[in-house]
Parts: sequence; structure tokens; C-alpha cells
Amino acid sequence: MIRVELLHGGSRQVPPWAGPALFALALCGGLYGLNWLYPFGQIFDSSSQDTVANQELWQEEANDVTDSVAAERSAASDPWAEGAAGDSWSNDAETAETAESSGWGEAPVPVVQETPAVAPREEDRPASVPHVVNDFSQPAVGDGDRPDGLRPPPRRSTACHWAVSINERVPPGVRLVSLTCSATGEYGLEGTSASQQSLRAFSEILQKSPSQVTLSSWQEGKASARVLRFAFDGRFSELPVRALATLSSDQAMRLFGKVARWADESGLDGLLIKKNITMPLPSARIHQRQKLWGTGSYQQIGAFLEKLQQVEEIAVLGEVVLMPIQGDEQGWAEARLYAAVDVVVGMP
Amino acid sequence: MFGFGKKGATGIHVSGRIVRVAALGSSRGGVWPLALVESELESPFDPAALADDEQRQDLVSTLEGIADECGFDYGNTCISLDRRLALVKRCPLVADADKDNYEHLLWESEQILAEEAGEFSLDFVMTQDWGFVVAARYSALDCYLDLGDEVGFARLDVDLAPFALYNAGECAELLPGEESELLLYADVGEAWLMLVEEGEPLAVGSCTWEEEDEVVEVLEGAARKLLQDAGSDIQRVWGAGAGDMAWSEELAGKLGVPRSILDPLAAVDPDLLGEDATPEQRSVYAIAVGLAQRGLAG
Repeated sequence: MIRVELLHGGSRQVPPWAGPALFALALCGGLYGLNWLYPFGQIFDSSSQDTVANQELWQEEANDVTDSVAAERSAASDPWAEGAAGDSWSNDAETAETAESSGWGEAPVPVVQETPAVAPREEDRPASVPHVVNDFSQPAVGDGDRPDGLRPPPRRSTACHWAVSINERVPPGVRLVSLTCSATGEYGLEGTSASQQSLRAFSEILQKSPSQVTLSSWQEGKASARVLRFAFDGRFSELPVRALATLSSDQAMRLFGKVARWADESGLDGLLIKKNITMPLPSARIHQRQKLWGTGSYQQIGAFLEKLQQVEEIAVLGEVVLMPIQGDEQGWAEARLYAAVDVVVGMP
Repeated sequence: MFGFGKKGATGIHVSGRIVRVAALGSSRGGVWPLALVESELESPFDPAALADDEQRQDLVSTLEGIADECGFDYGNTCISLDRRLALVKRCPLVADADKDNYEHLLWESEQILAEEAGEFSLDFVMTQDWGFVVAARYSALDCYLDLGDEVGFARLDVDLAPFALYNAGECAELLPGEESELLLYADVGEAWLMLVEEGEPLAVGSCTWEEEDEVVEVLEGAARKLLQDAGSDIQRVWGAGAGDMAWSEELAGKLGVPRSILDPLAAVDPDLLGEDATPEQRSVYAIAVGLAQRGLAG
């Protein structure tokens, strides 16, 4: 027998404010009663002045520490949080670097350029095929600037984590077909929208992130089955980055082993992990990249990425591609994940 | 109305202009039908009509008329939730423990409903591998409660038509019949489909059509989509509903499987049926009977 309980005993919807209001009322009543039995003033007066002073001093120190930790955590994990795009790492003069030094200290200026109803040229964007951000087969932009022709080393970055978290903010009516991001901060979103209104809502949400984003949208299909497709190209413009710690080759090997285990423990299906790739870096170091493919729910993918964040000082999520497998019109049940984990290894 | 050890329940299935009511009685000896009645409304019943006091009165008076005519009351009633008012989403279950799966489904439903999550009443149906998130707006459910107050339902539940169809098949001891089977309830203008694998629901779908459409093509499209999404094939189609019975026969032919009639009273002692209705005629009440069976189950 299948049965769903939606009426819950036939009771009508309780207004959302009723619960907190009742709680507040009960709390006030309780406090009033407690004050009547044991007046609060007497309790506070009986405390020693020295103890209070010591406690205040301790509390100030503790607050300083927790505030700075909280600020860094906030900036690293939630780009939408107020102040998250600020330079929480910039005071670390010894190791801090910035992706775009010119952008620091300025207020984030989200730029959204909408080009509705413009069909992209075929050579500009092959339909539904996510572009690979950096496959090591093509030279990265800016490589030619280095006199030695070597790539810059990978750096700590939360860009890919930020990009994946966009999933949580996709409004109803919008379906993602692909999400791509690299540690340098460039990201892309492709998908379809039920209406211009839904797409506008999504665009407004993205504007709130500390990124510059460009929107292209176009109609596809015949009159009876027209689909509004879109592509966002964005860049987290105020991305706090800093150098990764250099590992020994043994440490790197162990870390990649752990990464594979975390992916498995997170419940990702169809895991494919290829032999890691090595690229030379300046100063007798090499850049090692572990590529990984798998399929999982948002929760499973999130669990894996969270594990990676725990080793952010030594490894960075260099690239991520997420391709939701559409469950139904309400959203996706699973997504295919491609993730590239980068480390810096010192030459023996 | 019922003596010691006996109880009764009523299922109400409203689809378009038609109201179908199944009143069942049960005792240790089994279940028997008290009434299988249908009546026509003045205008098609839809979510807008449900929220409108005047239009709702049409349904209220129809239901009151049926109860008076057949001599039963609505002491324990379950009504089918309109197709447009329910959101059903299927999610794979990832954890071993029910509690973890429940939390996972809750999380998935929050992703779908976003900021509106607080406006929905939620429940979950969990099978071995899948979870179904079912959501309906409180405001819509309040309209059903208003309807219940106006008709005088002592106890009211709402449920989804495809789940009621499944319950009807299960209580009729027809399910599970095969390893994988498709339940089809085709009405006038709309149909419900449910894929059942090893006796458990695997996927749920619905479709609608207009007069100019080829109904069997629409049904085939919906069935094939369901099969494709679930990555499954079937060994049998169970057909029920007020629509042409040839539809389910033709659909089964296109899918290359046999078709059987889902007679919701197949397990009832023939002496208790007391009338000469055919299984096809009784299948029209499959959803209403499934709703009443839920009421009897407590």
C-alpha cells in the first residue's frame, strides 16, 4: 500500500510566524517567571569584578582569533556572503598573490551583458558541448608572457567550489546543461530556460556573485518545440589566491591516492582516474594534475569537493566540469563530474 | 452505519467533469463494494474551481446527492489530488538508512522548491532504490479541507491518482504479476501511467491530449519516455479507465506485450459484487477504489 500524508491529520497550514511567535512568548514567560523566583540583578551583582575583567580580556582575544578564521572561511566557501570577495588573504604579505592585482581594493562591479534572441554562430559554440577549460593540450592564455616559456604554477583558489555552488541558486524553470570552471576564475554555464523571466532571475542571482558575467541567449527549435537556450561566461574577478605548498613526489602520490579514495567514499559512480599528468614549472618544481571522472548526486559531488577543500593548502581543484543528467523538468538527480586536482611537487 | 468489526471508507476521483465515488465496506470476511457511482458536474473541475467558493459548491452538492442516493456517509474519505496540484520527483536513494535517505530527499525537495519550500506540504514514498518526493501547496490543500468541511467529511485524506491505481491493483491481488509492468489509467483527455518493477513503483507519469490528437500515439509517447527514463522494459500493460479500452490494447500491441484489465474488485468474493458489471466497467473506478482501499487500511 502506497500512501502519502499531505494533510497531516487534516490540520490547516500554520502561518510561518506562529511558531517563532509562540516560542518567543514562551521564552518571555519563562524568563519573567525565573526573574520573579531568582532576580537576575542579584546574580550579576554577586560576581567578582576581577573575574569579569579577566573574562572580558580573554573574550576579546578569543573573538579576534575566531573573527579572522570566520572571515577567511566565509570568503573561501561562499562567494555570495557579504564581504566574501574582500581581501581576507591579502594581509598575508609573505605568500599572498592575487589573480588580478588591479582589482584589489575596488568594489566588485558585476557586469551583465544580455544579448537576448541572438543565435550564436556554429563555430562560436557547438550545441550543448561544454568547452574544456584547459586540457593541457593547448597553451593557456598568458603563457607566452613568461620568458622561459614555462607555465605559472597552480595556486590555491576556491573558484571551482564557488562555481559548483551556483547549482544551489538555480531558480525554478532553469535547467543547467553544463557548468565549467577553472581555478583561474573563468566559468561557464549553459542550459535552457522555461521563460525569459526565469533566465532574468538567474542572471540577477549571478550578478550578486563577485564576478563579471556575460549572458547570451537564443531560441532554438521549431515553433512547436522552441527552447530558450542560454550561456553565461563569467569570471570571478576578485578571487583570493595564494601559493600552494610544495610537496615531495611521495606526498603527491599519497595525496592522489587519498583523492581517489574520497571520490569512492563519496559514492560517485563510474569512477575513472587516469595516470597523472606532469608539467615542468620554474624553480625546479613540477605541476602534477590528477584527472577524475564520475557520476553522482549533488550531495555526493558536494561531499567529494568538501574533502578536497580540506587539503586546499596543498592541492587545488584546477578544473571542474559538471554535466547534469536531467531527471525530469524539476531538476537533475545526478551529474557527470570531471575534476582535475593540481599539486606542486619539488624536484629531488 | 457499521457494526462491530466492520468499517467503511470512500474514495473520490474527480477528473474533468466526472466525479467517481467508490464506497467500500470491510470486515474480517473481506472487502465489498457499497457503491460505485459516477456523476457529471456542470463544468470541468480544475484547481481554479477548487479555489472558487461558488464553483466548489457544484462538487459539494454532487457529492451530497450521491451519498443521499446511495445511503452512505463520508465518515472516512480519501480524494484524489488534481494532477496539476501535485509535484512528483523521483530521486535515487543513496544511503542505507531510511533516516539518511529521508534527509537526502528533504534536501532534494529543497533544491526544487527553493525559497517556496515553506509553502509546500511534503511527503516521500521510498522503495528499495528510489524515493518519490510528493509536494502540494498548503493553499491548495486548504481548498480540499474547505471542500471536506462543506460536504461533511469526518476524516479526509488526499492522495495521488497513480498511487491509488497501484493500491487498487495490489489489493485486487493483481500486482505484482510480472517482473516489470505498466499501469495505465486512461480517462477522457488525460491518463496516468506508473511503471512497476518487482512490485515496487519505479516511475510515474501523466499525459493529456486534445480532440484532434491520436490518443494511442500520445500514450505511446508517454509510456516510452517513462521506460527510457527508467531504463526498463515491461512484460505487461494493465489497462483501466473510462477511456476507450482499445487504447490500452493498442498501446500494449505497440510495446509488444500483453494487456490485462485492472479490475479493482478482482479479489472480491463474486457473491458480494451483487451486480453484472464487467471488469472493464469496474476498471473505471480503479482510482476511486484504490483511494477507498487506503481509507480501509487506516
